[in-house]
Formats: sequence, C-alpha cells, structure tokens
Amino acid sequence: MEKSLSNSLKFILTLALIVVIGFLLFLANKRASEYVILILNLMAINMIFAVSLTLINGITGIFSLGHAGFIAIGAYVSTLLTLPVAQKEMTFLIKPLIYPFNQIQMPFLPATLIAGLVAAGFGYVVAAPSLRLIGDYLAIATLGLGETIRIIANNAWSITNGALGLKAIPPYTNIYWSWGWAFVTVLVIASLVKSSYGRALKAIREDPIAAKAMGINVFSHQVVSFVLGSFFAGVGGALWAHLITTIDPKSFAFSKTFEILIMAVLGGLGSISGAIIGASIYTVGLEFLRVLESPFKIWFINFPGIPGMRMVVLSIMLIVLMLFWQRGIMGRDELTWDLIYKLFTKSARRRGVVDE
Amino acid sequence: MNEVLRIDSVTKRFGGLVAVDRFDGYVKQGELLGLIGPNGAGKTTLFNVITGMYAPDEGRIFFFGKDISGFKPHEITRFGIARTFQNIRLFSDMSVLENVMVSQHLKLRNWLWFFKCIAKTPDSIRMERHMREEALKLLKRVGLENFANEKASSLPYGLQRKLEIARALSTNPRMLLLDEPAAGMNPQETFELMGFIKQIREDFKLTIMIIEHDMKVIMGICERIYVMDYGKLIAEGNPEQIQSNPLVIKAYLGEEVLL
Repeated sequence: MEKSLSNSLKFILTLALIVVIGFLLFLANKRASEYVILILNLMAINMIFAVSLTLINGITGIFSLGHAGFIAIGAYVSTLLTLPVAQKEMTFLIKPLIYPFNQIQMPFLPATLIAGLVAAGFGYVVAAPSLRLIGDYLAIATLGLGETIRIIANNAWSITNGALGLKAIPPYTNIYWSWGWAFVTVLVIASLVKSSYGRALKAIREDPIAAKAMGINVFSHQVVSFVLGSFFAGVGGALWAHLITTIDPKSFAFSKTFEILIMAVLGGLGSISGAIIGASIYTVGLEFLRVLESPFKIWFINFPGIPGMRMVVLSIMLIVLMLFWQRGIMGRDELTWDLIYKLFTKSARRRGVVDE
Repeated sequence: MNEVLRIDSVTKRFGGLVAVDRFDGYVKQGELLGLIGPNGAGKTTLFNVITGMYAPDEGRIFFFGKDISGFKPHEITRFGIARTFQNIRLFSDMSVLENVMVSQHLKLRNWLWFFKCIAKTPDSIRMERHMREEALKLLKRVGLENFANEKASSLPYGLQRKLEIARALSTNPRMLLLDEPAAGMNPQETFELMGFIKQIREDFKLTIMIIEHDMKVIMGICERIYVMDYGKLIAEGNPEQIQSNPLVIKAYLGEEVLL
C-alpha cells in the first residue's frame, strides 16, 4: 500500500532544504559574478510576482490582468521614499516633486512595506468595483485599470517624473532582500492556501454559487485575496526598482503582466510550487537563450545574431510545452515531499528495486 | 404548531414573467414537505428566493420568526438553511473530504481567523483538526469515508448526489432544501435515497423541503405537499389528497376534452 512520510520528517526535510538553499545563496553572494547575482535576484523577484498572481488567478479564480499596475505602484512608492532628497531635486526638472515626498528619505525595509501597503490599498480600490464582473469582463476591467495606473504614471509629472522616469535609485536589493521577501511571500501565501481560507478560495474558483450556498462570503474573500496578492506585487515592485535602479512607465506596460502570467501558467496555474518553478525556468531560460542573439555556428552553418531572437525561440518552446502539458508543469498539484516520495518509489518499483 | 419557515405572499418577477406569484406557505418543525409542479412552475425559483440567491420582489420570508428576506445567501446559510442544487454543483477539482470541509468554513466567524490561519496559531491548528474530524464523521455517516481523498468529480453520479447532501449537512443546518435529489437515479438508487433522506431527518433533527419530479419519492416520504403551477400555489395536502385533486391532474395532464 501507499506509504506516506511522517510530519516531523517532512518538517526536517523542508528545514534542510531551506538551509541548503540559504547556504548556496550565501556562497553565490560571496563568489559568483555580478551577472549571476543579478539573475538570482531577478529569479526571486519573479517568484514573488508569479506566486502573488497565482493566489489571485490560480487559487481564487479571479482572472486578473492588472498585476503590472500594482508592481508599478510598489516600484514608484518605494523609490520616492528611498531616493535621496538631493537626487530628487536633480531628477524632477520639469515639475518639482510634491510635498511629502520631496522631504523624506527612509531606509529600504519601511519603504518596501509602505510600497506593499499602498499597492494593497489600490488593490482594494480596484477590486471592490471590478469584482462585480465575472470572467472575461473582469479580465478586461483589470487590464484596463492596470493600464490606467501606467498612464497616470506617464502624466503625473510632479509625482512620477512622467515619461522621463526615475533614475539613480539606490541599489539596495541584494540576494538577502530578494530571497528573504520571496521566502516570506511563499510562506504567507502557502500557509493561507493550506488553511480553511485556502479551501474557501478554491471553492470560489470551482463554483461561486455553491460556495455562497455553503456560507462563504464570496465577495469579501475575493477582495482579500486580491488585496493580499497586490501587497506582494507591490513589495516585488519595490525590490525590482531597487535592483534595476531606473524605472519609467514603459517598464510597467501590460507585457509585464503577461510575462508573469506566462511564468504562472508554465508552472501550472493554481499551484504555488508550480509558480516558483515557472518563475525559475523563465528567468534562467531567458538568460540561456541569450546565445541566440550573438553570432553562433552549428557545424558549418553560421547564424548571425538577431536581437530579439530569444523571445521568438522562447515563444515556440512555450507553445510546444502547452501543447503537450496543457495544465503547466505542476497542474494544480503542489510539489510536496509525499509526491516526490511517491514518484521515487513508483519509479523504483517499476525498475524492480523496491519489492513489496 | 411549531413553524420553522413561513413564506408570506412572495413574488419574484423576471421582466414580464412572474416566476413566483404571491406564494403563501409554511413548514412545520421536523416536517418533510414536498414541492411539485410541472416544469417551469417556479419551484427552483422559490428555493432561490428562500436561500437568498434572489431577493423577493414582494413578500417576506420568516425563519424561526426572523425576517430573512433580503439577506445574502451566505448569511442565510449561517442562519441554518442549507441546500443542494438541481444540476450537481460540487467543487469538482477538490477532494471529497475538502468538499465537506469547505462547509465548515463558516465556523470562522471573523477576519481575525484569517491572520490566525496564516500564522498557524495553536487555536487555528486545533480548529483545522476539528473541521477535519467533523467532516470525516459526516462522510462516515453517509458512507463516503472510503472516497475521502478521491476527487469529487471522479465519484459515480449517485454518490455525487449524496456528497452534495453531505456537504449541505456539514453547514450544520436546521432546515434542508433538496432540489431534485433523485434526478438521474435508477430505481434502486432512488429507493436507497428515500431511506437516506428519512434517516438524516431523524439523525440531524432536520426539517426538509424537497423538489422532485419522481412521484414515487414524493408520495413515499412526504407528509405534506405543495403543488405549484405558473408560479402560483394551486393545491396543498397529504399525498392521497394531492393524487385525487382535480386541479393537480389538470396541471399535469391537461383537461379532458369532451366530444
């Protein structure tokens, strides 16, 4: 019969995994090149984006396409809070920055938290009216609201410096910040999903009418899920801004939302571990495909380097993947120790190693 | 007379169509009440009005003397009215156990539990264990315990119907509304279902209201029957009275044409 692992063993394994990852990151931080560290940071930030979108889209079933808007809010708010006052005066040439922001400068952690809270606040403002819609209409409404945020950023010169964007943002984001926040994001959202609230959110995804009839306040649960997802999108936006050190409204066009959606769908919409895997594969894969953009040679055929080639190849790879793996890598399952154990014993039994 | 539910002149219109037309009725404590009528008579609409899916256009509904018209569906479920659906509405991608545990969620009365559940505080873990035990107890009670970890959509049809009833019972209701529970069942399954409905009424001290087209079920277990046609209540009585009521025969079979 099927054996499962005891809870204490699972806990020890998880702890060991976290320690190993932590140690590897520590080593990478010491030894690896700046390029590798940048990729590792991006990976963690993409995990935050993908996991927060999974909570909204995959678990609760709200098909939201406005994620880039909340990332933009997080990025702008945190930057306005951390940018040195002198730098702000130099940046805002066309119109001066409005009052509270032109006088304050605070450390990274409170700035990140405030960025997350402001994004969550906007999430509430967006969710409350648009959740009256369902399905495709909701997707279009959130898409429009996300774009609205970007267009406001493009025109509110006295807050965002308009199309010129913000430059020379202090590069606070390092391995510890990005992976630390990624850890917190996964911990909070996974803990939520594994509770009664997670079941309620999934029930809403499966059948909102039946969920209502079972005593679940569908609307407020959807709003809370949306707000929590927006909070982490804002936090991720703050980390992202302080990693690439320059932001402008174009960075938050809806292609950003689709990039995150691709990660989540690749991993399996509805699975947190899937979102983590999807974000990792997407980030690292995109870097590996960079070779396609410089001239290369297979046997005796010379390929010229075409900029943008990697996006074409990646798209084809994704199409093929979705043809054969329609629900993404994980589907709606989670990568648990039990699953790994089951896969391992199953393949071992097939090879005749374990006999029962 | 101990009244559980009183429906006071309820009307529900959809544009020009009057789906429920000044319906008056009551349900007594512990009663098994049947609601029948031709297709499109407004039976399911009446259920939807009682459970808050639709607000009545006119009239009011009292549950244990409390006016519940205008409350939201989840609030009415919390008051103690649970229901099943005509077309099965299970949470198909979740396990059988999870389906029943979802109905335990209403025990988390305020949003403080939200933070407790994220932080996994001791009382949230205790609550989770309590919900699991309650759900398992219920599955055992209805004979689904061997399917606890199966996906709900993988169950055979008859068991899906049973699971839907179990899920409704899990909200700890005082009154249960069953919308065509025997639809699509074979005679053997229908016979078992009749016993099952009577049994849960005893075990859970329920008052049950049931919509059904299978007259064997209605005549076999209901103590009193309401007959609806075109949104109106046309007849009321025990099974014998209904069977011989000319108005009912007219509604179902049409009028005899004398040549």
